[in-house]
Amino acid sequence: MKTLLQITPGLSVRVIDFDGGINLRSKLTQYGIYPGDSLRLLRRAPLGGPLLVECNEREIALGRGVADKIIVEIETCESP
Amino acid sequence: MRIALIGQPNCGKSTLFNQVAGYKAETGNFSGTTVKYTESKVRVGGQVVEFIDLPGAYTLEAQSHAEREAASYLRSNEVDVVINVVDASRLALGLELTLELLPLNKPVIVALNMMDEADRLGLHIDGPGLQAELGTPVLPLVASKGRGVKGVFLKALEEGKNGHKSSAPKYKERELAGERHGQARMLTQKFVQQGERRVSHRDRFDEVLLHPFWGYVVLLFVLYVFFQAVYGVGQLIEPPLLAFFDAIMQGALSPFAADTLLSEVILGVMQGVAAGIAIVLPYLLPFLFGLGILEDIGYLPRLAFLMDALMHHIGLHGKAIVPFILGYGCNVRQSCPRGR
Repeated sequence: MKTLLQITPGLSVRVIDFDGGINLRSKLTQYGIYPGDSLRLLRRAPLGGPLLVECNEREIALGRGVADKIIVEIETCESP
Repeated sequence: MRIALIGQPNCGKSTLFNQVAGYKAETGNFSGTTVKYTESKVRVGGQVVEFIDLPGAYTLEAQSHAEREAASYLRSNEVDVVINVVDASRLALGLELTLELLPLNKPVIVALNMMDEADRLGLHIDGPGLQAELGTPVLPLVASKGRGVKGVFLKALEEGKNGHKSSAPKYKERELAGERHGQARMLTQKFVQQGERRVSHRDRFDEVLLHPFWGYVVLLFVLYVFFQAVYGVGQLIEPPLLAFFDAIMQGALSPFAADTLLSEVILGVMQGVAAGIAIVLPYLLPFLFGLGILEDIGYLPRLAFLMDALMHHIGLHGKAIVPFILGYGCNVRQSCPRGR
């Protein structure tokens, strides 16, 4: 099991769960990220900054703390 | 009749409101900028109606103060019709809010905004199909260009008069967030076709703008040009304005004897006004203008993205870079709450 923070840019992953309480969950669902959704990690900001992910046609910047709480699995056989 | 405008942040709701109300409401790029709601009486189709632009909300069940305000207002008897502005290029997300609005038992008009943006992304949306499925009017809109605005409002008036509510029983039940998410995705898959996405320059810009090295080079360059422009314009305007106020003050004080209380009070008042206009405004106005430009071209979120890590070292978020820059020019301006 990996967290989003451990993923290298360019990979597509599927969200398994959120490792946090109600505040984390509601914040992420408000941005439209749910367990079962596909994310693609576009880039990481340097100097320990946020991660830019693409989810359902949206680009969202997530802080590293939050990214470390999103449990994901790497998607094999992704369609282009 | 009261018509409420609701939509998620950055869907163009306030742009639509401005088109009709005709005066400036705040439209921002950082999420959640519309904290207060704005109201206006407008003549539509020969009738005077009241428009309420509610705060942007991702969902009615949310935690933030602004979103709770919007939710409680919608449920009250004060609202006759709801215009749900949805960003057409992000339909799946927008529909989650729409699915929360339909069970409220009020007429809902779904206004798909930014259709030009959806077109640019190669998305083809089956509006009539979606309308039939949801049982509520679905209309296209490009609020920034004024296209479709009249159609949306006339429809809202019509629905308000008829008291017509969603005719699709499937969507009248209050659902859990997870189910709404699933329904929204299902609806999107059914009624949105992904065509050829036109490759735009914007995507290529981000390669440079967010680059680990070049991004910061661009950032420093942008800030350098920005400040040079602000100080350049300011230094041009400040001396003539100061001279002007000096002349006025000389003229105004001449009838009064020097060193009297009255003359000191008059001097104080004039110096206060002069300081505001002649010292602050020459720098503040180009500053706000420049900031507006940066915001409109969409650079500010990229600035926040690049600066977030550094800002955290001093206990702030990347977003705080905006008041930070603001404060560099003038501390008073920085501590004014701006709701950003």
